[in-house]
Amino acid sequence: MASTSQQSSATGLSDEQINRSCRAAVGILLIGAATWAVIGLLLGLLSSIKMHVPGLWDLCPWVSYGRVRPAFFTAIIFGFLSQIGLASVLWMIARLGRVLLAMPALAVGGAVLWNVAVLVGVLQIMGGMSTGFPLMEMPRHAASLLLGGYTLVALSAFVTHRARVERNLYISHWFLISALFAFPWLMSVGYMLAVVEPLRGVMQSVAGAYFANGVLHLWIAALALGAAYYLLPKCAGVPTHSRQTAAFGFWALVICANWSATSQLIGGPLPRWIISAGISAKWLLLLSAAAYAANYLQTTHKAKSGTQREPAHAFVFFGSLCYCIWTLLEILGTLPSVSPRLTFTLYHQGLLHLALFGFAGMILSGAAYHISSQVFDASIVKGGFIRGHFFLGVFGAGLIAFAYVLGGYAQGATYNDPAVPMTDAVRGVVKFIGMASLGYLLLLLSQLFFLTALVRGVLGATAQERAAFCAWCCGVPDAGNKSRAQA
Amino acid sequence: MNQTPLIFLGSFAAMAASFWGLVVAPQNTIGRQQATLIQDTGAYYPASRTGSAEAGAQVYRAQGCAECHTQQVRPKGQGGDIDRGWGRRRTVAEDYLADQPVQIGALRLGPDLSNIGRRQPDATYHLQNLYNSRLLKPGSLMPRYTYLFDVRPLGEGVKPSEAALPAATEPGFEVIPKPEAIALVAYLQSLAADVPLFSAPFPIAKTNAAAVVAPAPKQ
Repeated sequence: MASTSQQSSATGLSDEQINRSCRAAVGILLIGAATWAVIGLLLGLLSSIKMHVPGLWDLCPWVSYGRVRPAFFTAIIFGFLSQIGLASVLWMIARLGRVLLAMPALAVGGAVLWNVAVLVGVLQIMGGMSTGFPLMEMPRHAASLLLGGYTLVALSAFVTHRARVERNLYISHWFLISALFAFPWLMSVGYMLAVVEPLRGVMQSVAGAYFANGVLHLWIAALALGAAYYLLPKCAGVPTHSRQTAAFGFWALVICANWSATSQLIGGPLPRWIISAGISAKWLLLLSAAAYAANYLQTTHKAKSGTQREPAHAFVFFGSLCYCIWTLLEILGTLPSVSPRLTFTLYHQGLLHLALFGFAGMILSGAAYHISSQVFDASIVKGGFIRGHFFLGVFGAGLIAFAYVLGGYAQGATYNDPAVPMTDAVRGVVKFIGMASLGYLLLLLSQLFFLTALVRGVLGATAQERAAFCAWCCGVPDAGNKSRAQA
Repeated sequence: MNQTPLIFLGSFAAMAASFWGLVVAPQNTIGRQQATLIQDTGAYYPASRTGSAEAGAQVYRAQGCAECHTQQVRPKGQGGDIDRGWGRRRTVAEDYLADQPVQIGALRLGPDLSNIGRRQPDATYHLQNLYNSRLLKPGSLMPRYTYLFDVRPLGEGVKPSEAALPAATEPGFEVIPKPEAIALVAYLQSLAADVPLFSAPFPIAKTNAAAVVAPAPKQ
């Protein structure tokens, strides 16, 4: 890991100066992300409990299952994962380019607007204004705000990138820049064709699937892989094994990810060729995962034995494992021999949770700790919180994915058997949903550790700024922090 | 790969290609489908929904019914949808021409609803099911949508309103559906993908050679 006192020979900028330039925007994004993770998991836990205790709080429309469930996914995807991804984009582009973050006020404004957009979106979904398309439930007003927030953050990132001193592009750059480009494309195409000026008939579902699949692969997964390719050499203490293999994996992801959208619509009311194209592309995504896995294994194999290991290493390891399992299980779900059994079951919910909490959630959490330790307080990664977060997160994500995948497999058999009464078939999944509820509880606890660790680190490191801000606002120094600031 | 424009252009080309292949090309075929005139009945399929059913589609969207219910029947041999009686044939793109938004769903915790209007045309059944599914199906996991109803205590000797659900629904109370519940039920009653089409005839039963033949659409 680079020392914070390291000086850039080209610009004379120290890491400390670069880190400080990112502080406000990264702080808002990371604290916002951890807060949304807790809120999202509260909604997720509630939705899971309501699946096996359907009478819970059924007098209140705001918390009915059909509203809480999409609100949960919105909070997790756009509130939690996207914000850590944006923080990673800002910080990594500045650090890798050896340049101060450009227009930090714009990035701060964008981060605030992004959080407002997620809040408005979640409240609108819970108020019954969902668009009705999976993972695209956020109504158009909130989506417009979100795009506005993105624009401000991305503008800061692009100007920073253009001004970079270190002209080489690192592997992380490819994924992060591609993700920055993909997001507005997906938002505009998805919302224009499914919500604002909807296509006719089932083409709306195709546009919705195009958006949902793109957000998962070209936004969330690309951000996570960008962060992973940054953290991997830091953890191993050696450069990434093969830039060519990484480039191959990158292009496999970029070219095949969007095409795989229609593999979600297996059995759907569409011509076979559309779904077959999606399935073929899904199979080709194996190339991307294989390239990443090969690079991961080769790089860690070459890791210096005496290297000081990054705390983020465990997060990257588990996230990488989940990435490979997720890709394999996604492909398994498209096999003609098992897809009739697995389609429309909890199996695909399990894979979605594996991707969100196992793969992207873990890698991006590792990135959040690494960035916080650099930007705020190095001691942030030394407490027991990070261990608690990791182990609870591993068990929580693992339990939910296991319960849903297994439950989906069992569900497929009973749902496809007309001899089993429908009510019995539905009751058959309750035990799996109950297991998943326990997983949500563990994940919620893990995210509470995450939020606590981040808040402690940020508050500790920004005592001076906060004291100055209080003095500026009220004319009276913040008494509680005065002594810490002086210290 | 040290050129930012290469990343941009490569990503753009990949996304534009997938957009053309998955959205533009299908839009030029299935996106331009029109309702079919069925010669036997002289009616167009799919028919436009009435005002109440159209309003009900928005209630269906707002309540997130598609989180648990699909509206797509898979062909015979791909799952047991037809064997379960959820439809007489597979659903095809043409079935959704009147839908806005299209709510095909992705997860089944409850049954498929593509043909619920044919399978269960009784409005009172649907209203009771929405009020408390477990009254009709003990053990059901469907949430209660009590907030779509007005529930008032019945005084002694007071006759319940004509719009109220049967007394057994909530003894001692009259349960009156709100307009949202009535609209939602009108929407559910309108769900019927049961007209044989050229692209989706009824499957031929193994024991019955005289299969139903799809009427040819009028050109």
